[in-house]
Amino acid sequence: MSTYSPLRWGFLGCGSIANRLGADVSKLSDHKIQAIASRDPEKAAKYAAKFDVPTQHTGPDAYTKLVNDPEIDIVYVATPHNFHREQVLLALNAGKHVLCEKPFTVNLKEAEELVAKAREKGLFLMEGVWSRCFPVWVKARELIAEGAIGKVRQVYSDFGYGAGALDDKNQLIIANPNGRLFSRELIGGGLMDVGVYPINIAMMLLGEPSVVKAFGQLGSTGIDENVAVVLGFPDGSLATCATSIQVTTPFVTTIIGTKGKIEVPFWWRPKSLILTADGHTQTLEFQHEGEGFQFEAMHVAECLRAGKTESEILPLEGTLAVMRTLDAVRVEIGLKYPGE
Amino acid sequence: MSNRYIPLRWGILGAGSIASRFTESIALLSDQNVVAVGSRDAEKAAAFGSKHSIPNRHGSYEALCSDAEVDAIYVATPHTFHKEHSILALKSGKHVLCEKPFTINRAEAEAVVAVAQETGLFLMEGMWSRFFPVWDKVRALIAEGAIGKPRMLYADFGFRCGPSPSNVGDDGKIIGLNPQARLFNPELGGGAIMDVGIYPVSLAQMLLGDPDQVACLGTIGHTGVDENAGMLLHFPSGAMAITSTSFQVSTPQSATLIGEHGKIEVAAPWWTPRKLTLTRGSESEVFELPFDGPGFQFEAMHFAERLRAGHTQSDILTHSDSLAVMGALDNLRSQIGLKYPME
Repeated sequence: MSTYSPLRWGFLGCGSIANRLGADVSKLSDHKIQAIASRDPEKAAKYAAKFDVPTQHTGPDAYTKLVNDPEIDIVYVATPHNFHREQVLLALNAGKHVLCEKPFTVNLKEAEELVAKAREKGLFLMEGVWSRCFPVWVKARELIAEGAIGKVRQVYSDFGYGAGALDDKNQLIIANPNGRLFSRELIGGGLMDVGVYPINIAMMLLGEPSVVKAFGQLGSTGIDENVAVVLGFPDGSLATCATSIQVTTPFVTTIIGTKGKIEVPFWWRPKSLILTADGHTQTLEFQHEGEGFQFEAMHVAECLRAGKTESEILPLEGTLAVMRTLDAVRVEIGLKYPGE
Repeated sequence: MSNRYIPLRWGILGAGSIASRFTESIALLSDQNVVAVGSRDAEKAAAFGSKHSIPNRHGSYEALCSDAEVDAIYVATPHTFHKEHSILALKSGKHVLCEKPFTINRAEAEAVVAVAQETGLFLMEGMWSRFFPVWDKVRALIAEGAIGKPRMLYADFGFRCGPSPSNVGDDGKIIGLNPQARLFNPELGGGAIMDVGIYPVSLAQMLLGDPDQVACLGTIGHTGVDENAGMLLHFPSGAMAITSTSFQVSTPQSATLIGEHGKIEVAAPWWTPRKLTLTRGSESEVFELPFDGPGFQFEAMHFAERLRAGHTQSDILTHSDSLAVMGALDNLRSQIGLKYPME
């Protein structure tokens, strides 16, 4: 049991997501945020103090130092999406396992490169779609597998939030066009920020779509502000997904089967599910501390301790399928990123 | 002129289940009467007439439409007959309320509208959902700017058909359907999109305007009609509607309109609604708007009011609205290869 106990994390990046995940993971007794890397020493020091992190890697080669730190077991890549490819490769090449924040990469091509590298090196690699690891989703998967709602034929899922007011052309009024959310260079837009969630959860439930159709509204900075997607699966089941940075959506996922349905409110970090079948409705509650990033961290630790190189909750083929689908959605809405 | 159409005297064309529910709804109104019913089957007309205490019972649609005591005809036959029966009634000098879907396709709808324009008679599609107090309230809230600009609509309408406990086979299609039944028979304009998918499409048209693009994925079942479909609509404003329909599963039958500053949720079943929730920030306000009977009285009240005011079409569901909905349905169907034999 000494292997990976505690699991020693090296966090690459100390922005908002690293803070949120850090807050939950630092409370787990068999996990340790062992090292933090930031080019900015002040940021690293602040983060280290906040979460009691022993090692700080800073300066221009902070990330290289982190991935070569012999005291860490796994690197958590917590930088913006456009850096994921480069930094995941850096970690894998240094022989480290990797948990990489979603979206995995900018496109399928980059994702394939990372998956090939992980397989070549025999290292663990997983996309950090934390939603999949929550007890509610574990339960939902069990219920569906047991046939509680019959055959799943439709899934609806949305995730959008209002990021500002609209102008006369119904586009967002953007004060900071170079900000991460709005910049094409930084792979901004709703789809890659939050649209990845509903598409990911629909694919967790139904597999890989054989047909993708979408509408998208691009804003003044050229990134998507409103997207509607319909996915068709080989068994004839369907998923409809909505994402937006113009409006706040209801945050609902509904899974509709031939015998009933499962509704998951606040589905991307859920605490309950509502099962309706055979004329009865019941709410199943799953309380948890913090935001719920601990479930993802615990799942990663379990995989590593079992000697696995990928997660069965989100296998690498699943991540590649999601990236392939995101590419297809972007073709539909005419959204290309610089360099593509 | 002042007493004209008071009471408004209805003739019911077709004696099926929807005709029954419409007739029960009219019974709730003091200024409207069902005075006649017509069916190709004289016995059916007689039975319907005696069940609902309707004095004039006709064994043909022609006889019904020639009944001098009838002001307006409610067309309650299957979709494939709507064009023929609406035109018959209009050419007989009767105003027409025609059940949804208005016709099988946009070309047929245009033909019916042209006859209404020629004759100067009142013509409206019976998309009854639009006239419920909840939707009046939603239109008023939007007009007041309660949620800002509407940007996204979610609405679904599907209900499960087929045997229990298992209705969908390994091929993803419903098993054991009666291919002659109206819902499943292509000869009668069957399929989920035309039966209930039209509701979210028409709702989207009411709330967001005429769509400029549509996208559809769906399954055509063993009887040759669609039975599980996802439909996206895009509007010139950049707004979008995400809708679905099904005979394979019962969908939540909820509708949510999301705007810049808030959202309006219409509780299931949104197509005959009694409750809406307006949410802005963390504050929610619930409006309960109950009613009696099946709910067809609201479209009938609107019809009578506009007719009495001398109009020839509704302002809540104009001819142009119905044509736009039929056009959108044409495009949705063509994307999944659903063409009816008569097309």
